[in-house]
Amino acid sequence: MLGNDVVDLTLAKHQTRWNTASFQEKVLHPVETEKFKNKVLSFTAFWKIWSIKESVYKAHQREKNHLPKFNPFHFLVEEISEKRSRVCVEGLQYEVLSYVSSNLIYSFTKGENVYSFQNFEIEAKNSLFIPDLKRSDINLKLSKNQNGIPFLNQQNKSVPISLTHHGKYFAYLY
Amino acid sequence: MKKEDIIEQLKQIVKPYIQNQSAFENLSAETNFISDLEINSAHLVDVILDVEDKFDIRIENEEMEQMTSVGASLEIIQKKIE
Repeated sequence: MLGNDVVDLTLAKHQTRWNTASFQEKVLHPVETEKFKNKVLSFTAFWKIWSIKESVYKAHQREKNHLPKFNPFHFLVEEISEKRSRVCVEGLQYEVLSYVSSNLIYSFTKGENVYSFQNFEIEAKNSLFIPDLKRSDINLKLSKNQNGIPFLNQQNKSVPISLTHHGKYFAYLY
Repeated sequence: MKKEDIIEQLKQIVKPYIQNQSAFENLSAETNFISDLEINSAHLVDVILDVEDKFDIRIENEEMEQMTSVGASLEIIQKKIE
C-alpha cells in the first residue's frame, strides 16, 4: 500500500510546541512514550517519527478505506534505523524508507514496482505535475474517493497515488 | 456556554492554521478540519492543545481521534465543560 510524507524542516521550526510533553503525548504510542520517557527527542528525530507515522497512516487508510481520522498515537514505530523502519497498526506491519537532509525529511512505504517522484521542490508541482495532468493526450485525472483517498484515473483505469506537500516541498508516490 | 459561543471560540482557535479561506468564512458544524479547512496534521495537534488551554479541559487521545470536524469538537467540548 502507498503512503508518503514530506516535512519541510524550516516550516516545522515554527511548530514551537513539538518538544513539549503535551504535544508529544498526542503523537506517540503509549509504548513509545514509555520508551522515550525522560528523554527529549531531538528536533530531527521527532519529525522523522512524525513523517514515518504519517506515511503509514496514508497507506493504512487506503488499505482499510478508513474515514479520515487523526490518530498518530495508534501507529507504533517498532524499529527505526537511519533509513528503514517498521510500523505496526491494527495488527498490520508496514516497512518505511526515510530520507533526511538538512532541509527536509521524506518517508514512504516500501513496495514493489513503486515509483517515488522526489524532485521535492513545490515549483515542480506547478511546472511539471499539474501541466502533465492537463495534457490532453494522456488524459489523466486526479480524483479522491469518499474518504478523501487519492487516485489517478486514465480512461477506465484507476491507479492509486499518494501525494504529500509541506511548505516548499512536494512529492508523490504511485 | 452557548453552542454559538463555543463555535466562535473554535473559529478563533483554528484561524491561524487554515489553508482554505472560503471554507473558513463559511464555517459551520459540518466543516471538516482536514478536508475543508485544509489544516495540516501537525497543526491539528496545535488545535487540540489550544482547545485544552482555552476551555481548560483535557482531551484524551481517543477523543482527539474523533475531533476532525467543528461539530464533533463542539460535542466533546460541551460534554467536558458541562
